[in-house]
Amino acid sequence: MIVLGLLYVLAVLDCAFSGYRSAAGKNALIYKGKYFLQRMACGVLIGHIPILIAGSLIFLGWLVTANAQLFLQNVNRAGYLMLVIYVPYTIIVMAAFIVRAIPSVDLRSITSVVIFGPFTILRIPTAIVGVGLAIYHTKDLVVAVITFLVLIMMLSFEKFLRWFFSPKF
Amino acid sequence: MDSNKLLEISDEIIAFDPKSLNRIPVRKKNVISKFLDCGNKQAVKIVSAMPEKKGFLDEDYVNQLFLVIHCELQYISEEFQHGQRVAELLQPLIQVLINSGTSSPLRIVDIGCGTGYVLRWLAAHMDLTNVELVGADYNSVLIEEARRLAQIENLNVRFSVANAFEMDEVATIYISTGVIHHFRGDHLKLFFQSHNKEQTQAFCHFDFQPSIFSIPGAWVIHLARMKEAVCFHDGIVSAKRAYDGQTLHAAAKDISFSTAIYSSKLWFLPIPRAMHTFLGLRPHLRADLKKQLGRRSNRLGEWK
Repeated sequence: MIVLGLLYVLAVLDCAFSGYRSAAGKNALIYKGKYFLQRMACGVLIGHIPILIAGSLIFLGWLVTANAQLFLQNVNRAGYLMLVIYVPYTIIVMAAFIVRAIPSVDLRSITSVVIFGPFTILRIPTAIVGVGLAIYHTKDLVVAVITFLVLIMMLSFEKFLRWFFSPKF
Repeated sequence: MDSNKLLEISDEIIAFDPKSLNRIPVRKKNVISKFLDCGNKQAVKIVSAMPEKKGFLDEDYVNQLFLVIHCELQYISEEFQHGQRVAELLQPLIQVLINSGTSSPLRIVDIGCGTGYVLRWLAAHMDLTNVELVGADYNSVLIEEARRLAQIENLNVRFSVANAFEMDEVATIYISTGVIHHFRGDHLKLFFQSHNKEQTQAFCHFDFQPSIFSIPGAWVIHLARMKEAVCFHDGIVSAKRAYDGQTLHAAAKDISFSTAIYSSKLWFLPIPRAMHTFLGLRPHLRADLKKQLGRRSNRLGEWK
């Protein structure tokens, strides 16, 4: 449960940042803290759809499997391997936010050059490596399929948000 | 590659009559030919995908594209705290001018202001009593957008479709961001010569600083932040076309200002900053600027 709980926390964080990135560069006002907060909240809210889908898939897998105990162990193992990749990534990004809280133009710029920029680019490869590691090591086909579907949802979520918030006319 | 052969898409897809500042239709074929001559396949692909009307680039599309480009540019400026960066230099500069008895109101004119992010940020965050903020740009669509945005947030800034050097109201301080690398060859000299006006006391032009990090750095940041292909292309080209301090000093050597590069290195480290500032000041104001800069005065390079 701890593993799934941690994955949930990371998923919520990713949804919030996806909401932020989908909103960034689209509003030229000066004061827009509220705008970004709203978009992040929307990201988290909408992000619960794929999170619920992933949870439901795990639940369904647990229902139909012949050995429920083994299935949960395999889910746990796959989740743990994903955390091995995702937790260090998250710690680095969150640490950069702490540095960015210092009111220095230079320090804030450095966080963008060294962490936020490169780590935005690394988000997709990191997601793939985490899921790839979990799939490679699991012996359960259902767990592998669920993990793969989680990856698809992770990779497409930000694009979906951008489409969702873009003008449709 | 010769840096003068490096062209930015946003420079080529729009044209203005230099006298009237009216838009001139741009023939798509000509833009593509220019990029083909430079061997720039990426730009050819981007421009080829742009809609046209009777052989000319669709003006409505180009207008919309420029708004998107400037919104994305603002995103990077915000992330890199550019408003704060400008304010940290303007604050002491304004104090120097007040101390010297320069007649008020002081007027800060932003050359090629686009949608006016820098001026709007300054108006929103700085106490600018007796300071006028004026933005000038050739592009009327960007100026309209700048006015609209300033009005929404009730910011005290004026924007004009104008050549900044030909406006009736002469600047006390000229500023610009990411503009000077657009002036190539003799145009750069002419640009600096245009500052030679009696009322003008200073200028500060912020632009990319060429270094071993500038091109890979621009690549990473633009890849991470820019969604629009033109922004990505032009961002990298801008970093390649950026001028070093020596070139800027040489181009400005005949003007009646002392010039210096401000903020080229990161703290005391030998690490170049992504952007540097080419600063010009009337010679008699130099000593007071050093005093007003306080601990930041060590960022000031040698006066020329």
